[in-house]
Amino acid sequence: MVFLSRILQGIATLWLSATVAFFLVHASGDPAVQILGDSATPEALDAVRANLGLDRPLPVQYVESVGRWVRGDFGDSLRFGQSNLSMIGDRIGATALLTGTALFLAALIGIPLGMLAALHAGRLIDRVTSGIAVLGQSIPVYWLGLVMVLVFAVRLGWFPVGQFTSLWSLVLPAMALATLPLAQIARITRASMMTSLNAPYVVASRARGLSPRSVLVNHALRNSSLAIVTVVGLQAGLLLAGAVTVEAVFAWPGVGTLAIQAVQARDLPLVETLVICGASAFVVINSGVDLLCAWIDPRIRRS
Amino acid sequence: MAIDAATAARRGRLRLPSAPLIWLSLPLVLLVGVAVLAPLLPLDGARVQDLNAVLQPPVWAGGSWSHPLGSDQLGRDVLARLILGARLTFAIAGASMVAGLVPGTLLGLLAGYAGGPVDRVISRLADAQLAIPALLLAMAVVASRGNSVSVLVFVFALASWPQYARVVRAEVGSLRERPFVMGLRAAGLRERRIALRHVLPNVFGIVVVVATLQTGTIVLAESAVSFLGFGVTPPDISWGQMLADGKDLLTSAWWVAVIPGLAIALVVLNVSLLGDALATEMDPRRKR
Repeated sequence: MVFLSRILQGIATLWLSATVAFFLVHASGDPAVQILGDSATPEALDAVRANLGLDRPLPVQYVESVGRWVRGDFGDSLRFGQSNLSMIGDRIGATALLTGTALFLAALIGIPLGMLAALHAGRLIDRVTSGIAVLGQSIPVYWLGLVMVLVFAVRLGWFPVGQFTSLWSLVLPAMALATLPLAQIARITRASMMTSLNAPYVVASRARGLSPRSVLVNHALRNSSLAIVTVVGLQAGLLLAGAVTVEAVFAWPGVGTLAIQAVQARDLPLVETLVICGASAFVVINSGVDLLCAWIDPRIRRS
Repeated sequence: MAIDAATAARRGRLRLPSAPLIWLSLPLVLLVGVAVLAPLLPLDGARVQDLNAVLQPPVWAGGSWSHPLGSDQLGRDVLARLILGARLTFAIAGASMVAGLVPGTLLGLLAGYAGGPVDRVISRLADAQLAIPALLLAMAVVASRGNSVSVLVFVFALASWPQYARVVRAEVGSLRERPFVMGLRAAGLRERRIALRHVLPNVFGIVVVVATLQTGTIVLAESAVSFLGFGVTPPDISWGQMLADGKDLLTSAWWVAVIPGLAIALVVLNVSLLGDALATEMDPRRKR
């Protein structure tokens, strides 16, 4: 029941997002002028409008677009002349590899860091961790990427510069992309562990003589896992945006670079498809997280 | 009726901000002051090209005091550009913050206070908006409309309203059941008046916290969009645009890109710390 209603809710959210994307692209300006430039003749503009179907009333265009989306038809790119979906499909692997590695790194470092900070609350390690966490969410990701290239690739020569040669070239972009989620995951883990560590059931299990390790892992961490899973999922969705700039810095052949090319070429059908795909990924990830939370915590299932 | 200072202080009218709040606000006030007064400062070096002094390093890296933070590939002074760039960066952040705060707060108030179908519609809209990454949204609007400062403000406001709406909705939802609201209702006040005059002032604190954190997020977003070349473009100067300008010089003249990036990071760091301090201040449970 939770499952079904969550999926329906996801579909409704997605439809609304696609609607927002449609009206932003179609109603906020004159796409034909953007495509051809200011010096285009009226005849040429009319031809482009007719070709893209922009000469029809907006509601008609919208209904027609929704009909195509439902059938899985997202049209062809103006710039590349290929199907939008297949172009995104060709590049999604590289982006998934990058964001997946970044998220894995962020969780792998962020969760233990947050736990450590909570266990030593108020002490030096807690302050350092909190400092890193605040710093991590203030640094522009792409700038960090540039500085990493400068230091580790150019000065120290540990990594290849500017091309996608082997898995070794994955390290720097994934590390740059991981900073923001790492900071958030560490913060939330710390806050949530602080709450669980002071909860009566943890105090009670400690009083019953359970080993500190068992108290920490089986009781405190288990009850914090909901908050941690939620923040990891949220960060997964947000990584999509960070990936665009990081891909630009590292010339990573993923969806982000495609998005940049699409905007540069004013390739509106491709841009629109990219926005819808981005929103879909976000909605799918978040619905998945909600279902996972329901699976972890029986209280959510019953409510 | 005489009110002594202690009572007034307890009511929060005369209470002075705590020390961390003052220390965290000071650098920002100074920076905004410098940015506002920038036209009065001798900053011709920001736009005047000097081909005899291109790519001068900063003072501490072997440069001279004529360009304290170095010069760029056209011999323009990095410090002067940083100050002029702060104007546009702050103006965009401030305008977008207000433009997102007002509708976001009002929609959150409406959703939380009215409940029912109104709440469901607004909450779904907020979810849908949050599902579109802000950067992708900005790129889509730029693709169809071209880039300008007003487009950026519009997009950032659009991306940030759900943040206010969500927080305010949750807060209002719990305030609505409080005795003072029931009392006002029993006294025969109209719902609209209760919501605007009595419930809304109670969420100002949390709105200020969200606004502070959102301002930092918007500074980062502006810099990212400008870095990709879809935001502020020459001859206008913003910190993100300076970074974009310097990224190809990284190996020969690191300071052109590194210094504006550092400026962004420090300002956002300061804003986040201020936001955290404000949140602590607002929430009595987090006070020690």
